[in-house]
Amino acid sequence: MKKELTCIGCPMGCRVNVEYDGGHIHSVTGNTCPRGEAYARNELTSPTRMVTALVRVSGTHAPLSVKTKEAIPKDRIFDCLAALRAAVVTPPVHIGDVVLANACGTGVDVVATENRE
Amino acid sequence: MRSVDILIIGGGPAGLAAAIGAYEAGARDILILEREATLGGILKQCIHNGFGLHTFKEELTGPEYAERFIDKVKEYGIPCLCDTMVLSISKDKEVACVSREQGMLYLQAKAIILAMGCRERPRGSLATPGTRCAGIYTAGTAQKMVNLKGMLPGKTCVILGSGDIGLIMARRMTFMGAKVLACVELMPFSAGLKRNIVQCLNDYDIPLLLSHTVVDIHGKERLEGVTIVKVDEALKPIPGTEQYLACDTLLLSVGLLPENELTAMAGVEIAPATSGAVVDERLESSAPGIFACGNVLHVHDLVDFVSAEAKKAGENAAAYVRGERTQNARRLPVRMGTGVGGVVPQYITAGAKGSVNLMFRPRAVFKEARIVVDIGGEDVLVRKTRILTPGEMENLTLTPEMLKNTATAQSVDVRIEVEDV
Repeated sequence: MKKELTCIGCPMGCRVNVEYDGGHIHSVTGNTCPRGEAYARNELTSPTRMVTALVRVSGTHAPLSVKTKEAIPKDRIFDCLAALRAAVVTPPVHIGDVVLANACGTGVDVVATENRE
Repeated sequence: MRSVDILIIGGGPAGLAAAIGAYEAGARDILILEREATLGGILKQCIHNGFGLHTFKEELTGPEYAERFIDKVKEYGIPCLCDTMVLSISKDKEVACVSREQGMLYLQAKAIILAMGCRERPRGSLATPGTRCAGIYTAGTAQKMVNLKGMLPGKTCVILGSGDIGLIMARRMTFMGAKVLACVELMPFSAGLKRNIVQCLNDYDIPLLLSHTVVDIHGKERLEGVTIVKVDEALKPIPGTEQYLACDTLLLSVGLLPENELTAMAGVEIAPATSGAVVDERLESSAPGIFACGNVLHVHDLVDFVSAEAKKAGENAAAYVRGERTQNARRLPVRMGTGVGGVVPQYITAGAKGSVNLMFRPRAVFKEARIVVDIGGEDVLVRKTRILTPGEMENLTLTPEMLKNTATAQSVDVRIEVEDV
C-alpha cells in the first residue's frame, strides 16, 4: 500500500511517500532530511497526539482546561474526550493536578492546565 | 495626578514580559493596565499546546505559559489594574483610563510600553454578500465562547480563512461534538502553520478547500447555509462552481489587525507595512519614551517571540527612565529589498550597542534562497534558507561585529536572493 504524508518537522512541509504492507515499511521517499523519514515511520506505525480539552467545574459554567500529560495513541482521542465529558472537578484545582488518571487505559494522566481557586 | 515611571498598556503576553524585563533591569515603579478582569490576554483561551518551545524548552498550553509570567509578575510585586480601559494617551505621556471600581483615572508616565495586542478582522471587512443572521463569529470569539464560557456556538460549521486560530477551532469544534464541513481559503496556500493543517484538519478529515471562498450567506434569523465557489488566479469566482453547504455556524479566520487606536492618538508614526508603530532597535517609537512590543507592533507567529521582544522593550524603557539615551542620535533606515515585507525595527541607531534583532515577513514563497543584510555596501549577514514563506516570520540577529558599519553607513538593506542552482 502507498500513503502520502505531509511532514510537520519544519515549514518545508515535505510530501513524503510511504510504501508499506501492514506494519512493515518498504520505502520512504520524498523527504529531504532524516526527520521526514522518522516522522513517516512513526505516523504509520504508532501515531500519537497530545490532547487538550475542557472539563466541567461544579458550580460554574466556565470549564477547566486540561491536557494529556503525554501524547496518547491517535485512535484513542475520542474515547478520552468522552471520558472527560463525563468528569466534573471541584475547586481548588491547580496546574498539574490529575483530573483523570490513566485516561481510558492509555497509561497517561489528564492534568489541569489552569488554576481555579 | 498620580505619576508612574513605567506604564504598561495591556496585561497579555507582551505586557507581562515587558513588566518583567523592566523590573529585572532595575525599574521599581511599574504599573500594568489591563482591560479584562484577569491577566494573560489571549493565552487564557488558547488551551491547545505548542507554546513555550523556545522560551521554556517544553510544550505548554496557553494558560500554563501565561501562568509562568503571571507568577513572576506577582513574585516581583508589580502592581496591575485589571478591568481598566485606557481611553487616551497624549504625546506627553499623560494617560486617561476608566474602571468600574475607580472611575476615571489620570496618570502621568515617564515611559509607556504599548502592549495592546491585535484583534481579528471582522465580517464587515470582507464585504461578503448575504443576510445579517446570527451564527457568524470570528474564530477567536468562538474560541472564547467554547474555552472560557463553556458554550458551543453551533453544531455544523464552515470556516472561512485558514489562519491558525481557524485551524485550531476546526479541531476544537470537532472535539466538542460539532461537525466541521470545510475550511475555505481564498488563496492557493494557507496562512496557517503547516503543523496545524496536519494536526487540526488532516487528522479529522476536514477538507481544506484552497482557492475557494464564500460568496453568499443564507438564513433569516439564524445562519442556514453558505454558498462557496472556486476562484481563478485573479481570485475572481469561477461561474458554475457554486456549491451550497448547509450549516448553522460560519467562523472567520481572515487575519489579524494590530490594535493601534491609542498609538495613533499619542501621535506615534505608524508603518503601513506592519500596521504598527515605527520603532528603532530599542523598540522606541517616534514619540520619545513610548515603546511598543508584541502583536500591537507587528503580528507574530509564536508567543515565544512576543515575550522575547517585550522583555527587551521593558529593559529599554527602564534605561530610558534612568536617562540613559543618546539625544538626537543619527538613525539609519532599514530598507526592504526584494521579497522582504513588514520589517521591524524600521530604524537602527548609528553605532548601536549590543545585538539587534531584525524581523520581517517574506512577501512570497521562496525555495533555496539567501537572506542578505547589507550595511554600507558590505553583506554583513548572509543566511541560506531552504524555504521562506509569508506564514513564517524570519528573525535575524545582527551582532555588534555586523553592526560596526552603522557608524558611517546611510542605511541597512535587507533582501532575498534566490540561489543560483
